Amino acid sequence: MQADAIQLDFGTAASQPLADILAAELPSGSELAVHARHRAAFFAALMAARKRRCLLFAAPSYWTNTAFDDWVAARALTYVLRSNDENEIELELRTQGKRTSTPGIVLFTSGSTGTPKGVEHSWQSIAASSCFAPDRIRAKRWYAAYECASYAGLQVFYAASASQGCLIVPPVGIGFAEHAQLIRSQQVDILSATPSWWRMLMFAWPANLPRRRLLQATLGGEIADQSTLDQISEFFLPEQLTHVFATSETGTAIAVSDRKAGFPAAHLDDPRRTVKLRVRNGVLQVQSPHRMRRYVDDEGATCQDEWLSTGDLIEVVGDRCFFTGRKDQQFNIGGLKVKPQEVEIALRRLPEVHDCVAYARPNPILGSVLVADVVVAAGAKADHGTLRRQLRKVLPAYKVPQRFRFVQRIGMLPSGKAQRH
Amino acid sequence: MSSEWLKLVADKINEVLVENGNAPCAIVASTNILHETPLDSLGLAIVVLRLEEATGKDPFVEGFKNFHTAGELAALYAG
Repeated sequence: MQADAIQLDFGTAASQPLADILAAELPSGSELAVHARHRAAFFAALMAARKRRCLLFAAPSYWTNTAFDDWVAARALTYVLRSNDENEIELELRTQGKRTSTPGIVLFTSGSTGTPKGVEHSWQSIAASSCFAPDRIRAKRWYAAYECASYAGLQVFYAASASQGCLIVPPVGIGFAEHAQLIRSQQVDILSATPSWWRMLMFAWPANLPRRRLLQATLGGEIADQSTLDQISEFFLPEQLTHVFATSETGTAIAVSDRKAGFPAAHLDDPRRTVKLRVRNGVLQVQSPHRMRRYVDDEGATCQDEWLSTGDLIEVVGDRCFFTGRKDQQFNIGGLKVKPQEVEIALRRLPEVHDCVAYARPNPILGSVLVADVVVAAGAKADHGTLRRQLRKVLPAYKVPQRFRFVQRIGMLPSGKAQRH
Repeated sequence: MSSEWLKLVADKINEVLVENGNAPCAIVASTNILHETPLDSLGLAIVVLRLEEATGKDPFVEGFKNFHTAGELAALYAG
């Protein structure tokens, strides 16, 4: 049985009954864990924990119940909030006694290594970027496309709440055609998602379903390339189209709404900006008042330097900066470094290609060779030769995938980012 | 070694040469792939990738095996 979408209305009815009941139960300053798989419990915990100045551990919905239980057991947390199969919500007292915690929220990043890392924010820093709501977006309908217990997911939550909007939360695990139906039937105005998520949505949008004109479309979490920006612009006709650069650690650092890929080079080393940016050894560094407080359980790794390195590589072309990939995600093809994103961006510019991922495969001659999985654009035809020939005109030979696999869809991580095998 | 395997190796080499804008070459068992054809190491990597796809065999699965000529490469698949 499929659960229905949840609606959180922050408009005229300002009270959230579940959150109010929970806030009355929860002692101020306590520690609380919640699993975002239980949507209703998660949002109640989010609101109540902030009100009661608690420390909230927000486990992402893609964690299994066992992983969550093991994690909770390993930590002497005071409270755990769960919902059972009947959707009843239970607050479980785990340890007696008083523990005083610094109020805030702990999120878990998937990280490129796969080991989840706890990132702790104050309640102020997690909500900072989204607390200003211009009149243009007041009392609108928002769609929760991101994982709820993530930095991006929380930005959508706080922006919807600050603007007295209504947040539509889809059930966990539905497909893209169902997302399209919900966006249409729930009359969504504002949608924020990863570029991969947007491309999947457009690809899976049923032909007989009218499109939805959006007020605001936002992209984040991956590089927003020009092809994707143009496609969203044409498909959803958004009044405003914004791409955002944010990380769990630094918070939101850059937001650009000129419908062009990259961001103005003038942002770098601009002392007037609240969030300061600089490039060192090709990598973007951020200094922000909205940064995380610390990494949980890993004080050693918590950088005390006020500048945080993002690991994202930047190329400056004229008066514009472009993200080209990540420092820790480059392939070595016969001794030459290739960033998968530069290959993917070039591929997506071709009319035959709707979406793609590039990755490396072991090869006896070069150590590894480049392979790309390609989703062919609707109504187009593509073969190995035509793709290679076109790419050879814009990329050096070693950056042209040596093999293409034609696939129905690109794999996606729970974070909404494309999976590069 | 059967001429079938050599023909497959020659076909794949020429396929890649043509894709890269080179003229196809006459390839015999003693042809030294990197010295007597315009194929570079990137091209050779592609040839090996396509041979694996065509034959379903990966003779390098346990590590690199040395070869210089088209005949030696074909023998790795025939074996």
